[in-house]
Amino acid sequence: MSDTDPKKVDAPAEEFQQEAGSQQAMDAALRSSFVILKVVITVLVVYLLFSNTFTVEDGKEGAVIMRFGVSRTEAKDIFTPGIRFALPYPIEERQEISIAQPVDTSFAWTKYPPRDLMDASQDPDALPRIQASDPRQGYVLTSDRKALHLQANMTYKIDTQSVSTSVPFVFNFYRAPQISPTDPVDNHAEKTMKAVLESAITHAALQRTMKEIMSGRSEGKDDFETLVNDRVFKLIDKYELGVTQVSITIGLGAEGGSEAIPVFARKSYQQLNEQGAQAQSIRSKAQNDVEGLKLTSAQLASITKGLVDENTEMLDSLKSIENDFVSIRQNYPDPEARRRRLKEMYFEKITEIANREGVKIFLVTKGPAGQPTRLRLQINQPPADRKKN
Amino acid sequence: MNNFPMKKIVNIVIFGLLLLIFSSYMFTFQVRENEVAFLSSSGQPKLVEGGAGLKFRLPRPFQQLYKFDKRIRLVESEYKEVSTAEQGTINIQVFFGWKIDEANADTFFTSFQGSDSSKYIEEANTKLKGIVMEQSSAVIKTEVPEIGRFISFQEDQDATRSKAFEEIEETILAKAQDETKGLGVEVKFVGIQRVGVPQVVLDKVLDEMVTEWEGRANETLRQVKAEAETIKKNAENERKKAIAQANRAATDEIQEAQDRAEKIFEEFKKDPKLAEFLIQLDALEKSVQAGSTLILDETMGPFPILRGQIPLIQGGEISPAPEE
Repeated sequence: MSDTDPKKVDAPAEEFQQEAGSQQAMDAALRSSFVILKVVITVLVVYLLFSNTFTVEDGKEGAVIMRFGVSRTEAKDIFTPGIRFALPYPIEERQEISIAQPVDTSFAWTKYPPRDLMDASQDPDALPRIQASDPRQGYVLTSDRKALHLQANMTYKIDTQSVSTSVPFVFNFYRAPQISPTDPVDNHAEKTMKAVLESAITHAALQRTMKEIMSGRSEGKDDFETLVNDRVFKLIDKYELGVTQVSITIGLGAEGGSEAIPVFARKSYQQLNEQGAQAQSIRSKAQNDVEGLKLTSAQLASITKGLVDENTEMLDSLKSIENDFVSIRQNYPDPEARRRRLKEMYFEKITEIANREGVKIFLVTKGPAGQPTRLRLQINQPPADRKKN
Repeated sequence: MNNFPMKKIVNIVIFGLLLLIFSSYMFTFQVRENEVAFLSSSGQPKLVEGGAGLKFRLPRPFQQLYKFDKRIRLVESEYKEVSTAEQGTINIQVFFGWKIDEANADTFFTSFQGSDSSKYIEEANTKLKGIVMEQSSAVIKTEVPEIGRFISFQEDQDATRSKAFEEIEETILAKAQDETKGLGVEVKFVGIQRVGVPQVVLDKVLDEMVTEWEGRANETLRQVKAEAETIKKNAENERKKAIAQANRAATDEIQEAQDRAEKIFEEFKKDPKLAEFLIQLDALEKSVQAGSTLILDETMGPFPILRGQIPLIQGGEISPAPEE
């Protein structure tokens, strides 16, 4: 045994030392892993504890917290703003309530399908009709037996003032549990509000003419929107929805409301409106003509004066001729003297006329009997032009 | 060696937590304030008493849990064609709200079938929708003679029309409530959501709209043209009247002038040729204004005198001098 190799004797001790070293490294690694694990667990526990903490915004939201299905929020605190702490689901659940809600409806609207221009069996000039069996092609019937397309939107607020023990909008109507915010919303109170709005529109449309609905005015009666509002409030009370501050807007689409007219009848409606404009233009033109024909008192006085003046002028002229007539007859009884006097008068007058500014007189000789008068055109050229020629 | 107890504690805590979670999932359940729950053991359902809170149960297959929300659910019917009392048809869609009748929740459970709670509710929705639609059809068949029951053409009968619409809703509700008695549900309300007409009638409505508007457009234009014509004619008459009045206002003075003119013309008869000469001379003076261009032959108006063709001054007969 003495001659054994010393290297072989030391080998197990070395191996043991190496194993001890590995064990120590493993222990150190485990220790650090446990520290990390503890930190992670602590973070997760803290996150879990506060995962259901949320805020309630003033005037916009409310919330009810239920512990094992029993509400632990008092009615007076439902709409109190601030931070709310709830234990993680399933110990506690939160039911958030949005105070203001919008509702849009297009139940009476129709989006007409595009025409297939490649389909030879379709008449390209044929206008599409509403398909009664297609619920997507909506319309309302009016009291004057017309079909009309309408859209509407309604905003309402949950009544936060008269809440006694619960909020009917939340606690009286089914709402699918929404564990995660990405879960689909299935709120039957909201669905009921939409059905209420649609029912009110159907009901009100049946009581008003198309013109009344489109103009928003009804002579001596509540207008269409008021009728819709009244019915909505009536049903809200009847169904105990606990909703207040309802505001409804009725939409007739673009193009001045002509989108509300079914496409099939839209062209004739537009024609009617254009005829209205044309009629207005005819009326305006007639009114303008009337204005032009009207005579003011000044114009009438002027007409009267014109007539009087004309007569006076004529009379004055006659009087002047009469004076000359009497004077010649008295002063020139001798025919020769009278002729001279008349010649004088004649030449005086011709001279005076010929001297008037710009007077040009062309006298042409009458043609022989039975022949027309022959005119000879004389062109007076300015001196400058004459030189050029 | 010192770390071992700590690791053990952590393991025990984690194991304990997992055990708690799994056992609570298997042996407990929650009933919310708005829910009603049933536990079924060997096919025998039993209502869970004690209201809302945390409850205990045995895991499946020993006990099966059914939970139902007892709040109002809204259901909308299809938009469907129904017959009226006068053999007409209208299209109608109704909506209704129903809830589980808490006092008869047991009946609800036995009235419907389903492998789980959602299937129960689905079946209840379908069955109730059928009942309400059936009752709606029956009411319209007996109470609504035709679409005019909804649309009254008498303008002063708003209240009656409104009553008709709501009366029909109330009748449908009452009948639906009667029919659903014994099903463990309460139909809370019924409303008419949409009213329309079948395709044939709708086509007629659209055609009438076109005919009416085209007719109105033409009629309006015709009326307006006639109206404009009348307005213009009236205005012209008014103008004529006014001018006549203006003329009348000048009558006295014109009459006076004419009387005087007649006397002058009487005077002119003493020597008509002289009078003619003087009148022509006067006319010539007045008619040829500054800037005038005249192309005339000698036969026209007073102008022969321009050529000196005046018998009076060329040796024509001169009337005798007036006798003083």
